[in-house]
Amino acid sequence: MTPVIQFDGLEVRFGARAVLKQLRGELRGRCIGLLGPNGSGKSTLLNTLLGFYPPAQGTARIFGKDIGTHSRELRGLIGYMPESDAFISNMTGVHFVRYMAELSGLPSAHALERAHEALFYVGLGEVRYRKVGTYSLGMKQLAKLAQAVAHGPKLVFLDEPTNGLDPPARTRMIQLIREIRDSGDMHVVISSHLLRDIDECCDEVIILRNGNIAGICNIEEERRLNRKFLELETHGEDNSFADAVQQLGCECALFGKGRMKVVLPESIEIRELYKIAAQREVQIRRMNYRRDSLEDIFLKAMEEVGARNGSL
Amino acid sequence: MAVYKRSYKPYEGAITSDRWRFLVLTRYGFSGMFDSRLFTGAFVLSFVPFLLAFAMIYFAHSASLRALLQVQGPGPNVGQINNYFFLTFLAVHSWISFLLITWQGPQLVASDLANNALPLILGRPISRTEYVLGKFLVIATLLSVVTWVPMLILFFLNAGLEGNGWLWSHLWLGTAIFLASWMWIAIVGLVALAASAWLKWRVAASAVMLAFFFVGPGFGAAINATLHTNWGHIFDILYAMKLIWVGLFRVPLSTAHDLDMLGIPAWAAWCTVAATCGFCLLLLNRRLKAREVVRG
Repeated sequence: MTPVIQFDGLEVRFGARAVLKQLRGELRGRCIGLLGPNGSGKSTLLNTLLGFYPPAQGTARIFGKDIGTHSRELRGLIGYMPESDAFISNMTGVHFVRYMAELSGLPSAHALERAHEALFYVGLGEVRYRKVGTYSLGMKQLAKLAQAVAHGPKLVFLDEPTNGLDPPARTRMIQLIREIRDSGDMHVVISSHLLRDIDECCDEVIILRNGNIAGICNIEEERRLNRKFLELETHGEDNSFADAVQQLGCECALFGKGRMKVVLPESIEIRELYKIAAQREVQIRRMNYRRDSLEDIFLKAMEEVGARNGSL
Repeated sequence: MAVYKRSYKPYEGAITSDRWRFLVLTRYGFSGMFDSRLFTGAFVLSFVPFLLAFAMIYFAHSASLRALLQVQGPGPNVGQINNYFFLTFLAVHSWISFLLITWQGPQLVASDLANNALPLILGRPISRTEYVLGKFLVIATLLSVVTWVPMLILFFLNAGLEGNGWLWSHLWLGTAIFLASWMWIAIVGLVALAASAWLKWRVAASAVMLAFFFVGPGFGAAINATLHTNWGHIFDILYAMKLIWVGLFRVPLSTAHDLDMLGIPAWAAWCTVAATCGFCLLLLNRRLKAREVVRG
C-alpha cells in the first residue's frame, strides 16, 4: 500500500535557520497524530506539505506524489483546517463553505449541496445562514472543519482542532474526527500538543522535536503489543503462584507484597490465571491491564532525542 | 445525500476545469460587491453621462429632431463630436469609475486578509497569480463596463450616423479609447488591490487610494515650485495618465499647451505609469502569501 505521507530528506529553512531537518520516514495510518512541543515544526510541516513553503532540500510525497511537482494536484486532494481564525466574516456559513468547495473544484450546485451537508454534519445546520463573523469561537472551529471536508478530500490536515474549545465542544470535535476517520474515505492528520486529543483519535503518531523526527509510532500496534501486560496484586503464596504462571508460559516479575507483573502470550487466556490461583489458594485482589500510554511514548521519544543531542 | 443524514460521505461528482477555476474568485467578488444596494444604485447612476453623451451624438446628427424641438441657437453640431469630445467623456467616466473602485475595490482582498482566509484559498488548487488575476478581473470587468464599453458604443453610434467611411478614417480613435481605458483600469485596479493587501482594512485602503491619487499631484507641485522645474509631475500619476491620453487622442499641441500638458516628455509619463504598476505588483507579491515567513 502506498504510504499516506513519505519524507525523503525533507528540509525547510527560513533564512539561515533550519526549521525542519532532514526528515525521513513513512506514515501509513488512517489517522496520524503530529505531536511535538511548541516550536517543534508541526505547523511548518503541514504548511510545507500544502506547498506554502518550498523545501530547501529533499522532498515529501503524499499518496506517492511529490509535493514539489504535484503541488496543485495534491491541494485538490487535501482539506485544511488552520490553527488560527480563518474565515470571511461578511459571508454566511453556507456561502463561505460553498465558496471554499467551489475553489476546490466542485460545480456550483454540488458545492451548495455539500455546504449544507457539511454544516449539518458538524452541527452548524441551524446557524448556517448567519454570518461567520458572528459565530462563537467553537462555531468558527466547526465552520473551519466544515470547509475542510465539504469537497470530500482524501486527506485532511487539522491544525490544533480543539484549540480554545470548552469540554463539550472539544468532545464533539473529537467525536467528529473519529467519525471521519472511521468512515474509511479520508485520511486525517492532526497536529496538536495535546496528547489526549491524539490518543483518542489517532492510530499512528509522528513526534517532532526541534525540527527532527523524535519518533514515529504506530499506536494501534503498541496497544496490541502491550495488551497482555497485567499488574496483579495477590494475597497468599505468591512465589508458588508465580512459578506456576511461569510454567504456563508467561513472563512474570515479582515486586514484593504480592505485587507482580505478568506478560501473557496471545494463546493464554486470563482465566488460566484464576484457575492457578484457585489451585494454590491465592487470592487475586486486583488485576489491571497496563500499557505504555501515549504520554509514556512521547516522553520516551523526547528523552531519546534529548540524549542524542546532549540537551537533556 | 439528504441533509438529515448527518454522516460523512465522500464526494464522487464532477470537478470543474482547473484552468478556469480562478473565475470562482471573480464571481464571488462581484457577488460581494453588489451586496450593497447603495453601490448598485451608484453603479446604475454612473451610466447617466453615457446616456447624455448618447443623446448629444444623436442630437448632433439629427436636424429633424433639432427642428422638432425648435432649439434656439447653434446647438451641438457634427464637428463637435471629435477626439476632444471622446477624451472629455473618458475623463468623466474615469473619475466615476475611480470613485466606484475606491468605494468597493479594497474589500476584494481586505476581506480575505482581515480574518486570515488567504491560507484557506491558497490551500486549494489556486496559485497566488490566479488569486490576483481573479480579483483583478472583478475590477477590470466593472471598469470596462463603465469606461471603454460605453465609449465604444458611442464611437460606433457616431460612426453609424456619420457614414461615409468615418469609422475607417477614425479607427485610431477607437484604438485610443480602448488603450487609454485599459491603462486606467490597470492603474486603478492594481492600486486598489495593493492598498487593500497592504492595509487589510477596507476603509484605510480606500483612504490610501484617495491619498495616492491626490497627494501625488500636491507633492509634484511642491517640487515644481521649490526647484523651478516641471519634473515634479513624474510623481503625479493623474498628470502622467492625462499626458499619455492627450497623445493617444491626438490632441493638437496648442490645445495640450493650453492644458499645461507638456510639462514632461511622454516617455517620462510612461515610466511613471510603469513604475506605479511595478510597485503595486511588488506589494502584492510581498503581502499575498499563505504564510508569513519569520527569518532567523
